[in-house]
Parts: sequence; C-alpha cells; structure tokens
Amino acid sequence: MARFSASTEADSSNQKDTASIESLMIRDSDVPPERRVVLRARSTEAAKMLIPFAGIFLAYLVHVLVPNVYPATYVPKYWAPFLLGCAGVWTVVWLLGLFIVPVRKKALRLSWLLAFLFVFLEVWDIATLKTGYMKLPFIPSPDKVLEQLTVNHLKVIESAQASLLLLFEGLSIGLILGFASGVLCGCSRLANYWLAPLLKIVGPVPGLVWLPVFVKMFGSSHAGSVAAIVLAAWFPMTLMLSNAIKNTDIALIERAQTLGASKTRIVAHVMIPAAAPALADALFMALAGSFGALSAAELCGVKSGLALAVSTWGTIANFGVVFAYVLAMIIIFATLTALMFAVRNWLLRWQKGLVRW
Amino acid sequence: MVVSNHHLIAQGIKRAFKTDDGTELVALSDFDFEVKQGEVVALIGPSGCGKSTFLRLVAGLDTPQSGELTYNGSPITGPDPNRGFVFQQANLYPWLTVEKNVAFGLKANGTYKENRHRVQEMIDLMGLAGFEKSYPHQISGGMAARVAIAQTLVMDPDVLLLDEPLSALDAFTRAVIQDEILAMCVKFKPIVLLVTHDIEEAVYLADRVVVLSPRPGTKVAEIPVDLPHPRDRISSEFIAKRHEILDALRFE
Repeated sequence: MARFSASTEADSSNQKDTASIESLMIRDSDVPPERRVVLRARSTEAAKMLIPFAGIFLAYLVHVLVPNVYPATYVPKYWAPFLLGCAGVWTVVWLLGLFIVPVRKKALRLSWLLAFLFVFLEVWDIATLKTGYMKLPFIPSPDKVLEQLTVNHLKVIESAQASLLLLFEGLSIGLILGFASGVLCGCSRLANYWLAPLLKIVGPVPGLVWLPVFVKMFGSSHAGSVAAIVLAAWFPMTLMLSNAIKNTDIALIERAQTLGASKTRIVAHVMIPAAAPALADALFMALAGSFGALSAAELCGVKSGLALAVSTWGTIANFGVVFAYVLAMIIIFATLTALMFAVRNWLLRWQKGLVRW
Repeated sequence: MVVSNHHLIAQGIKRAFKTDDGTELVALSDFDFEVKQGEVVALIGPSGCGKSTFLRLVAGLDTPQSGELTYNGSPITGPDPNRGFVFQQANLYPWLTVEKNVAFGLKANGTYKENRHRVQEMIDLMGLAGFEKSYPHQISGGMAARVAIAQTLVMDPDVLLLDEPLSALDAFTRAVIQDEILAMCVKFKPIVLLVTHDIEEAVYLADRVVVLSPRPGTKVAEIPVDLPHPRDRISSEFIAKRHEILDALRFE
C-alpha cells in the first residue's frame, strides 16, 4: 500500500515537471499543420536521436581496441573510417532533426534500430577479423567487403545500372499491362472469360521456367528477360486488382447510379478507388515478384547485372566481392520497396488514422 | 399558377425473387400506389414486406415482373439523379472528403461548376460546416447519415426516397435529423417516400402512412396523418395515430 502511494506521488510530480516544461514550449498540436514543418525538438527527443551514436562508437571502440587476428597479416583500412563517416552523416541528420519535424520523426523511429545495426555489424567484425570464428573465403570481414566495394565500385555500378534498366523496363510494362487487364477483367465478363484462363495457366508458373521459352519466342535474350519480368509483375497486379474490382461493395455502386454516374464514371471514380488497398498490395507483390524474375533473367537470360556477378564471383570463391554485390542489391531493392511504400501511403492517404501499418 | 404536376403511380406491381432451391419468394404483389408533389408518404410494415423493394423499384435499381410504374407519365427504366435515394447505411465514399462526397453527383453529371455553391449550402444546412475536409472515418455515424442525405439533396431531386436512413442513429440525433428532413420538405417540396420500422417516425414526418402486410407484401391500409407541423410527439392526437397504425399492423 505504501509503495503504491509512493509511486503515484512520484508519477504525479513527474507529470507536473513535464507539464511545466511543455507549457513553455510550442507543441506540435498547437500549430496549424501547414506550419508544422520547422519546429524545435524537445530535449528528450534531441537526446533520443543520439542513440545511434552509442552503437557507432561502441563498434568503433571495439574495432580499434581489439587486436586483429584473422587472417594474421591483414590490416583493416576501411571499417574504422566507415564508422566515423556514419557518425558524420548521423550528426547531419541529428542537426536537421532538431529543426525539421519529418526528419525528426524518421530519426526517432530509426534510432534504436540503427544502434542495433552497428552492434550487429561489430559482432560480425568480431566473428571474422577479431577471432577467426567465421572463416575465409566464405565469410569475409566487413572491412574486406568495404575494400572490395571500393576496389570494384565501377563494376558494381555498371552491374547495378544494367539490373535497374532491365527491372524498370519489365516492371513498368508489367504494371501498366497488369493495371489495364485487371480493370478490364474486373469490369467486363467478356474480358474475364478470355483473360482468366491465361491468368490461371501462365501466371503461377515462375519466370525462370518461362525464360527459355520467352527468349526463343521474342527473339533475343534481352526481350525474353523483359518478358519474364513483365509476367512476374503482370500476374499479381491483374489477379488482385480484378478480384478487388469484382468485389466492390454493391452499395457504393448503386449509390453512384442513383446520383446519375455513368458506367465509365463508376469504374473510374468508384471501382478503382475502392480497389486502392488491393492495388497497393498488388504493387508490393508485383515488385517482389519482379525482383525474383530479374535475378533469374540475369542468370539465365541476359547474362549481366548484379545477380550474375554474385553467382560468378561465388563460383571462384571471392566472397568479399560477392558480399559487395549483395550489398548493392540490398540497397537497390530496399530503396525500391521504400519508394513503393511511399506510393502506397499516397494511394491510401484517405485511410490515415484508420489503418495502422 | 404553377400546377404541382410531379406524380408517381404504381399499378399492380409484382416483384418476386428466385431462391436457391428454385422456389419463388414474392416480395411485393398487387401493389397500387399514388403520390403527388409535396406529399410525404411513409411505408411501414414488418421485415420482408417488400417496402424496401418498392423503393428500389422507384429508384430504378430494380425492375418489377409485372405491373406499371410511372413517374410523370413515363415508365421508370433506370436510376436517375432526379429520384434521389438515401440508403439505410450511410456508405459514403471513404476515399473522398465530406465535401467531395456531397459533390459526387454534381461532378458525375457535369454540373459541378455552376452548382459549386450548392455544395457548401447543403453542408451548412446539414450542420456539417467545419468538417468539409474530413474523411468519412473521422466523423460520427450521425454526421455520416447527414452527409449521405446532403449527397442526395444537393442534386435537388423531385423525388426523395428514404430507406430507413435514420435507423442506425441514436434517438437524439434521429430527432434532430427528422426535423432537418421536414425543413427540407417545406423548402424543396419534393415527393418523399419514407420506408421505416418506426411508427413514431412515420407519424411525425408523413402526410400519409401506407401499411404493408408481410410476404407477399401488399397494401393493407392507408392512414392519413392530418396533424399540423411541428407535431407534438406526446399529444393525445399523435398517440391516437400511433395506435391506429399499430392496430393496422396487427396481422393474424
């Protein structure tokens, strides 16, 4: 009982403190949304944004202080400067976050994750360079990966360009075709009759399997590879969009009819917007599918790009380079996925506050 | 002198639905009905008596198997913004703001530019001012019902079909919106068909109450309500009317 009352007392005094601090500051909610972009951070927020530094400096200290044992003669040159560079970048982010609300929100969200990331990378450093627990050539140290990335960066960029070009070619055609056929299948029985079998037969078979067929069918390995990626994006887009359109709440359609909307208007202004959540999911599936098809196409079709590089360097057991290429792939795919999420948030902006992601 | 000549006539209407086992479910049969401009008619009856079915027929969302249904002399062939329908559920377009939901019909028939001011007028009239930019999930059920009514009324319909639009609301909000509907009727003089389960609501709003029997739905009584507006819900005349309707609703 006594403990209970003591703790509530402490809580209330604590609340009083924060309340008195807050009364001196402008809170976000007091400011109209259009002027909320630049606002100074609270001291607790400023401190929380510093958390990644703890991870970075812990990693730095361990790396500098613990002696390198594996391989015996190896002298790391890249890992320590990289960590310092990260610290520099985060300093800039921190300073921006003090004044710019969107940057701050993002930084606060990422703070613990980033701190953990650097701790994880340092564990990798310990497992390889510092102890030799994980052996070369299969698991290189982070320093080795950075070295290979620096030495081979022109090749990596070249491969990345090839991959991105191929991906965009296939993905854009696939998404446009998928959107068109999805809407068509959803709205028209006739279109559905003729397209549904194609969808059911061609769609579920992976692009890797179709690739040899497509290469012969479309005359070149490039065209065949594009076709495989088109298929990978087209299939989920058509399937999910047409289903969502078919399932549009009849009440929404009847309401539009009684308000005098024409058929095309109902498709454009009721059915497609109603299918927006499914469209967002379809985009995600199409993107994920196209990554798989891209990798398959690079290995068996066009014979270029990041996936081929990973495979080739892997066969000659240069895993430093392999990791460098994998890193490039991670960056590209993660960036594209983040972009896709931005598109989804824009598509579903009316759901804000309704659905928690 | 302007003759009020909008009129809706139904003669021998039959509408049946096929069930899964092939039997016919007659929702409405031999239904005769007439209403002219400025009249508020309530359709009342037990569940499944075909009152909503009739409203859908008038809206043009459905067609009768037999019988004649004419509006101003010509048969009803499909939906028309001139016959506005307020559904039981608000079912607003969740991706449109309140303002854009109200403007939906005007944009659909291409008269938004010249009628833009009507959107704001209707929003003010329904007490939605200040919520123009809100999305449907951000407003209350009562407000959503008002938006749905505004969405229909902004089209300035000559016939207003109300399918239990207030059944999902709490008693207080319902009373408020009932008064708003009455004010609307005085202002725009439409034909109003109101489907309801609520005898009090029928007596409060309608000039005439049509009582339907359960399946197959057909008209069993027509009770005029000639009390002056605003009606006192606890006056003896009002309560006597309620009893009269309740008696007509007692099917053996």
